[in-house]
Formats: sequence, structure tokens, C-alpha cells
Amino acid sequence: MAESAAVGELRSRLVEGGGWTPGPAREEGAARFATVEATVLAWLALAANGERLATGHAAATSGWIAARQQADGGFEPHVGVSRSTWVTSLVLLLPFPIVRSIRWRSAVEWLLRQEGRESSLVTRVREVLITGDLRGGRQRSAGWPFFPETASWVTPTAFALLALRKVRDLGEVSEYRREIDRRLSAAREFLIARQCADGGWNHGSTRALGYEAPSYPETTGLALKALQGMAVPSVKVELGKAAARRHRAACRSVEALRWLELGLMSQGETLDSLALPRASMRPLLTSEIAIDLIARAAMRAPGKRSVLEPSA
Amino acid sequence: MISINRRRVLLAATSAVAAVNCDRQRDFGERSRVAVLKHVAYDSGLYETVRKALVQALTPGSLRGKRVLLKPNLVEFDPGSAVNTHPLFVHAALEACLSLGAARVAIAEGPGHRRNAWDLADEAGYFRTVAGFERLFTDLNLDRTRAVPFAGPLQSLHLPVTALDTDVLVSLPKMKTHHWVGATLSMKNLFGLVPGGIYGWPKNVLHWAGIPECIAGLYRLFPRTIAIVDGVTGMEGNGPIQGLAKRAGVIVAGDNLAAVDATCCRIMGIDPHRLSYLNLADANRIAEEAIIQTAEAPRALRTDFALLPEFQSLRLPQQP
Repeated sequence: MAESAAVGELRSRLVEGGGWTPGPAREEGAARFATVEATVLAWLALAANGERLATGHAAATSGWIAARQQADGGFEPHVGVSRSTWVTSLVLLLPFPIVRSIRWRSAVEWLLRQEGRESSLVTRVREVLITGDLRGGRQRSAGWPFFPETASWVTPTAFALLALRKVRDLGEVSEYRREIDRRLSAAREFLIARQCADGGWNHGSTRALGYEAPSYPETTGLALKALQGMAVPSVKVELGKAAARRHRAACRSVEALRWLELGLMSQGETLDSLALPRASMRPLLTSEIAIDLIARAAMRAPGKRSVLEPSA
Repeated sequence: MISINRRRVLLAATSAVAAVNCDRQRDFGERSRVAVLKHVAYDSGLYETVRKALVQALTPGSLRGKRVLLKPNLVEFDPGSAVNTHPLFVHAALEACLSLGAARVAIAEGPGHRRNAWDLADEAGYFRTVAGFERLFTDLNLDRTRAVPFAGPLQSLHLPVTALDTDVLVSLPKMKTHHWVGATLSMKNLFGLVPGGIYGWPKNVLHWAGIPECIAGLYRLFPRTIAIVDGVTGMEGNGPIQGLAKRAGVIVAGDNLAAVDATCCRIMGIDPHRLSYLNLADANRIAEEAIIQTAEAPRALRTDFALLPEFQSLRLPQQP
């Protein structure tokens, strides 16, 4: 899809009342609903490409996002869920003027309160009693769960890492600074611990019942992006980049390819061009169009901070 | 010396419950009909076999005028393996439902680990095989949801409206072993209804709440569900992802998931009474006496699926 067509398609998926729908409406007249994930990625994609929303749409979407914030400070993934989830990190990735329009300090506090259930004291003691492993193993490094009171996984940890680094640069978080740094450090350790034997990342389970689990392309790219500029042993980074290159040569999913390319570029790799995804008759998801546009913008201006990075 | 651990205690307890419930079952005389048909290849003949399986398993007219939702098992990007429900099998189920009078047949799935269901379906060959797939498919992970009461520690669960509002749900699992629960069949396939867009990838909230309890809870939430199991080629060993293909050459269908899964277990050489989630869900329905088998006898088609060492205790004893 050409860039202008992609931007047009994104604009067409704005839902009346604010927010973006995760996919195209397939039936004429079918009511469309918005999700926080689609909304954040679409808005970031437009911002990355210098596109602005009309004032009315911007206000409606800002209002729609603000209405997703729960009393505890986190954000529900779509209307009616009434539980804060990992999408809170996504909201904090939005451009600062939008972030400032929500109760962003509450969102940061909510995010800092969340950690994988496997790293809780109770679960670690139980683990030691069952396995006899006094080291507590990888459970010591707390990442983030998708849903409160569940285990940490690569995707929510990577997005939380990106969000908190961006928030740290707001310059108004001195009261959280120490805790943010502590959690960023733990998240980095978590991602390093969850690197698969093949060098990449999957959802976050490197071994199951003693069997090595292979990495996935999209999570490999996302983890590399999240670890950009962090103190990670170079051998780990190189293993990750090698895995990303292998995935990129084999996979044809636009979403996976663009995450791989964003990850590789963020780790200093120079790409001649973005890879061609599989030709498909199917309509693309909003998240796919958005991440494609974000990667194209990053490709056009290598070295420039992307919308996923601090100080954008 | 016999070692006692939590699993043994659980197995003993559930078997006892099953035995009591089976007696009660015979008293009530309620029996489920399950059709078992041989089919050894993904070929054009599959369409007729799947249709026959449904005709034998269902009450006549039960699909007429109904909105039907097919729920295959899409797990991984590995078209050459036995990890996903075969696209031809899905298409055969779609055609069979239409031929039996369904008003509309749609397809939906919410994969548990990989986030892009459309990519998975594309790679698995669904677009090539099912004409207009893009109009028929819903990614349940990203669907609009509604909260429903849910037994156990979760108390309530958000589920996709596409699944909640359908007249008949058709579970189309692959016949596979599973490295946490022993076997994954039509009932475990219902995990794909739980939206990752809320609970994540994986749907870890179900693990913390108890996998058997959640499988049983979903089974009770969707009573209007029928099953057609893709056992043409299944998966054995370290399933549901890293196992090896197993040619079982069989299709199993019925309108009670517990009875269908128990029948599949017997074909796989697994004792269904030893699967805690089956006992928990509906112990009444899994005894042999509680099932009316049509077409082939499961015992005649038994082909033992390799089990991981941890699951050897599930093996069904050979019967004379």
C-alpha cells in the first residue's frame, strides 16, 4: 500500500466518537468499535509521518482515550472492560501534549505498581519449595504482565520499558525517577533472561518442560527496539540481531517485518530498504498499517528519534 | 514403594468422582451420540466424510436456519506440521454445515501465543482454501466483548460477542497431546474464545485460575457447542506445538464435547477418566456406557499417541 493510501486508510478507520477501530468494517453499516491499542498505534503512525488530525477528531480521540482511564490510574483496552491492562503503557507512548491531557501521573503510578506475579515473594518461595532451587532463578527480574496478577511476558515488558523511558524524559517525574530507573533495570534483565537459545525472543517462554522454544519475529524486533541504548552485553545484542536477520529473510508478515526492521535499525543496523511483505488479498489490521508507516518514517530518517523513543 | 504426590491424589480423586457419576449417568439413561469415521488423507473425499460425521452425530434439523460459528485451532506458523486444524478440514466443516441448512457459517479464532491471527490463517492456507475467508473470519482476540459470570476464582470473564451471540458453536480442534493437560481436543480448544486483547498472549489469567477449572467453566458457558475433531493427522509427544505428526486417520464428531473428547482419548490410547478437566467438566458423559458410538468403534481405531514421560500414567490399558 502506498504511503498516502495507508494514511488515508488509517484516517478512514477513525470511529465516530473518537478512537480507531482495530480492523476494517466488513459489513455495511456495522457498528465499529475502537481499541486503545489501535488508537495509539494509528495516532503514532500519523505523527511519525507529519500528519495531523483535524481539531475535532483530535479532541474526540483525546477524550475517548481519557475516558478509558480507570480509577486506579490504568487504562482499559476498550469500552466496558473496566479493568486496567498493559495498554496503559501504550497510552504513555503518545505525544506529550496528549499524555499531558490525561491523568498521566496516575497512569505512571499504576504502571510502576504492576509486576509479573511470578516475581512476587509468595510465588518465589513456593517455587523454591517445589523445585529446591534456592536461587529463585529468572523470577528475580520483574517484568510486566498483560493483565494484572498474571505473569510477565516479553510484549508488555517491552512496551512498558519504552513508555517509562519516554515518560522519564518528561522532566516532571523527579518523584518517580528512582523507581522508574529501578524498574527499567529490572525489565532489561528480564528481557535478557528471556532471550531464546536461537538469539531472538518469543512471548516469553524460552523452555517448556525442558524443550527449547524458538523465537518469533515480531517479539524479536520489539525486544531489540525496547533494549535500544540500554546496557546489554554486546554478545546478547549480536545474537538478537542475527536472529532478527534470519527472521527477516524468512518471514513475510508486514507486522513482523516492520518490528524486525525497527529493532534492527534501533540497534545500529543500516538497511537498504524495507522488505516486501507477502502479497495478500486480505485487508490489513490497523496495527499493521500503523507499524508499517512508523517503520517507513524511521527508514526515511535514520538516526532521527522515532515516535517510540524518548524526546520524540 | 508407591510415591504419593499431588497429581496422583488428584487423579485418584477425579477417578472416584467419575465412577460415582457414571453410575448416576446410567440411572438417568442420558447418552451422547458420537460419530467416528475413518479418513486417512486431506483430499476431496474429506467433504463427504465430514458431512457424514455430522449427519450421524447430530439430531436431524439441528443446524437448520442457525447461525453457526466454526472455531478451528490456529496455533503456529508451521504449515508443514500438524499444529493447526487443516484448512481443508475447516472448509469441509463449513460446507457440511451449509448443506445441513445453516443460515450462515462464519469462522473465528483467537490464538493463544501469536498475536496476528490473520497472518496465522494466511500461512496455514485458510485464505487459499476457503473462498471469501476475509469476509467470514473474526479474530476473537480483537473482537468486541461482553462480561459473563464465570465459575471459580475469576468470577467473571469477558468473552467475544461473536462467540456469545452465535446460535451454534462448532469446535474444530486438532487431535493433539498437550504438555500441561495431557490432551487438547474440542473442550480445550475453547481457550481460543478468551480474548487476548484483554487477557494477553498467552491468556495467562486462565493458567493462574487453574487450567482444568477454566476449561470446565468454558464448556459450561457454551452448551450449544458441537465438535468435529481433525484426527486425520494429529500430533503426539510434546504437543500442542512441538510434537510430531501422528497419522490417526479419523474424524470424530458429536454434540457433547465431553463425550467427543473421551472418545478421542480412547482412540489416542489415553484414559479419559485420568484427564482432570474432563472429569471436572462433565464426568457423567465420559464413560463408555454413556456414549452411543456410531460408524466405527473407537477401540478398533485405537492408535496410541506417544506421551511425554510425565504423562505415561494417562495411558489407557490395552483391553482384550
